[in-house]
Amino acid sequence: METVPRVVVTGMGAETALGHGLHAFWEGVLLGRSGIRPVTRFDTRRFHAHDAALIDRERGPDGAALETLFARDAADEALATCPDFGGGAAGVAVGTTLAGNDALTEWLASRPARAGAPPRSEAGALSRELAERYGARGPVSTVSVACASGAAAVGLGAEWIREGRATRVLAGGADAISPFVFSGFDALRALSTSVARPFDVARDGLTLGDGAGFLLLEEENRARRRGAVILARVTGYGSGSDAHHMTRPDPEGRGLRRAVASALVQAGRVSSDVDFVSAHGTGTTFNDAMEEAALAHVLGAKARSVPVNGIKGAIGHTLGAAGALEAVLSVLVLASQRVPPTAGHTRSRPDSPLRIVSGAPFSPENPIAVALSTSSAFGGTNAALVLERA
Amino acid sequence: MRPLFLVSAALAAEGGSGAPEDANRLRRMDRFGRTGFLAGTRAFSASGASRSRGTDPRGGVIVGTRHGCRPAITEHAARLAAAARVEDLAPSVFASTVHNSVNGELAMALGLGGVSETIVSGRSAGLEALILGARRVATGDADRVLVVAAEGVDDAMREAWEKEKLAFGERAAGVELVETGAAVLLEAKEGEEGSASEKRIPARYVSGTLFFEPDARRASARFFEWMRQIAAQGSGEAEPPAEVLLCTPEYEDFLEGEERDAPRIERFGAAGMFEIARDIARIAPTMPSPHSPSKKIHLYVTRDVTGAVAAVAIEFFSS
Repeated sequence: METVPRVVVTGMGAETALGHGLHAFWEGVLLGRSGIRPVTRFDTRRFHAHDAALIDRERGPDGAALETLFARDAADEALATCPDFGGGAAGVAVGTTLAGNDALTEWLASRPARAGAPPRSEAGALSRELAERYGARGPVSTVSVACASGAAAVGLGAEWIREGRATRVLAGGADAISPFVFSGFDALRALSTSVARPFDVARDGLTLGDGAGFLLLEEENRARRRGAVILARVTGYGSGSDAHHMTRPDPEGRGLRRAVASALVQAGRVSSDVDFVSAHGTGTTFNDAMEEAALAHVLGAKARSVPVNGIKGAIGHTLGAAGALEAVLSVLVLASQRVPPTAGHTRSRPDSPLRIVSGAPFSPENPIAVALSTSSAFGGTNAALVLERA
Repeated sequence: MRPLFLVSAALAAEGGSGAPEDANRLRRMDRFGRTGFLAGTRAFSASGASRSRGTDPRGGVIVGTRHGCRPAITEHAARLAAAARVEDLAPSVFASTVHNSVNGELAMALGLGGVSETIVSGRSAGLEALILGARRVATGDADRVLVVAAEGVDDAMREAWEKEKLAFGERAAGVELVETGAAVLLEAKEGEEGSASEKRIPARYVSGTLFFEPDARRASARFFEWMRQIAAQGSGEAEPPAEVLLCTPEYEDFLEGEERDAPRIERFGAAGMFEIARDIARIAPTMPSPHSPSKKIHLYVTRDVTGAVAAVAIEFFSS
């Protein structure tokens, strides 16, 4: 009987406002730090909100956009222990919402009008850039399902390995904050005028953030043969649509429930197996209420005991990178058996069905073997990943 | 893996109109949204399916596009450039600046609550979406997936294309950019009453490949290797691949004359799906049953000059 290849995580990288690299990210979230600060990259005087979790960086000498720089750094780190990554069995799956937007908007506004060659402003350029950088000649794709893009890219990469299209995949997401997206969320009145406080009773909106997160996914047998350290397994991915509204989530979270159910089925798990949730947790009234409803439904009686973390109070909402960074966080939780506190959260509403980890890291008595990471997006798209302890 | 079928297909071109019940929905969309939505709803209707009052958790939408919501991005950018304060912006325009806008609109209109994914991988995006949709149905993640490829073309995109194509030299001379929407409905064979097996099925999805190979000659060699595998595997009663169609304009030495003449029209990420949907529409009126002895496999391939290749093998039930 033919067995489906198993997918393991053997490398990770992160670029966030908490600092350069995975260590800064993990140390920062464990300590409950926040990278949210007043924006200096662009003028925010036209807007209601003025803070974001931005990475202090300028465009590269080659003109590379910020999201490309973040992606290169995080991907370099993820591949640091795999120097021979590349070739026809190596793939790249990238999630992004905004890649290329800056270059396009600058070209549109250039004077004389639209002078010079148009920029390579398509979102798909990001995955091809990384494929060129590392010599990947297998499947190379960019996924763009708004704020669920990073999770969808990790799910797609794992899928390629399971169906035999690749044996190694660099999978993750990247985005950089610009006036374009800042203004849009501000126009929707979705931005907090202070800081994002996921699942807090006093939450008043999201805070945007720069970021990139990448995972090196490998077929397990090949990873073992090369002596790679196996950090975790990616066992399930699911996608579901709210079919409800373009920007407002379904109050009952039915699309997210479908995504989670699908991911659990693929993983061969049931909801009572879930030991930890890395939630989307934007800090908006509607998203967090939806997620509370969905997770309460999914986890049932276990909802009040499963530790939940949301990282957007620490690194902001990194859009296309968010799901990937939350997958990275899930792997770190599985490996360390420590759940970081949710930065920005101090008090849940009294009837909250969830156990939001707050204030200090939490180490449960029972092992954390199965982690669930959830993402929800404009367009009603939801994605869920199941990751398991190695 | 379940066998899966392309049960219906449809195209949408510039200026098309939709069903009366979609008028308000269409008004809020950008050109990409309208083109993709129209193709998707038409393919859905052509299958004989009716719009669900509830939500079908086993039905999904997968979209492929190169530029996606670029018309909405352009509009929001223009508004932002002119805005003195944030209240001068249009929140509804910003809400359309996500590449999965077509997924969301189709999911709401047709009650498709299952998988929702959008691939934005250049000219190969449409066929990549079809490959992904096939995977979702074959593995049981969904029972039916509406696969849509769309490019909405505004003035700024047309202007950008005129400059972009200069890099391709004489081969791009006269190549026209055309707004395109194309969609197919994929279904598994098994199912309840009214399933694909009981319908007049135009085609079956056989296989797909995707890879990244910047060197055109090497890309060509890899494609033909895959084609030989398809031929060697056979496909039931099907004949070896009858025809290879390069769906994207040939800006470089890729397939070197082995294929049907490549088009002189640029459809970006919708190119491959356009050709498939058109071929299905051509044969649908005369198609025999899936048990017909006359079956032909066609290979559709898209090549992005940056290196991406996506190709699919489709078996047509037609003489």
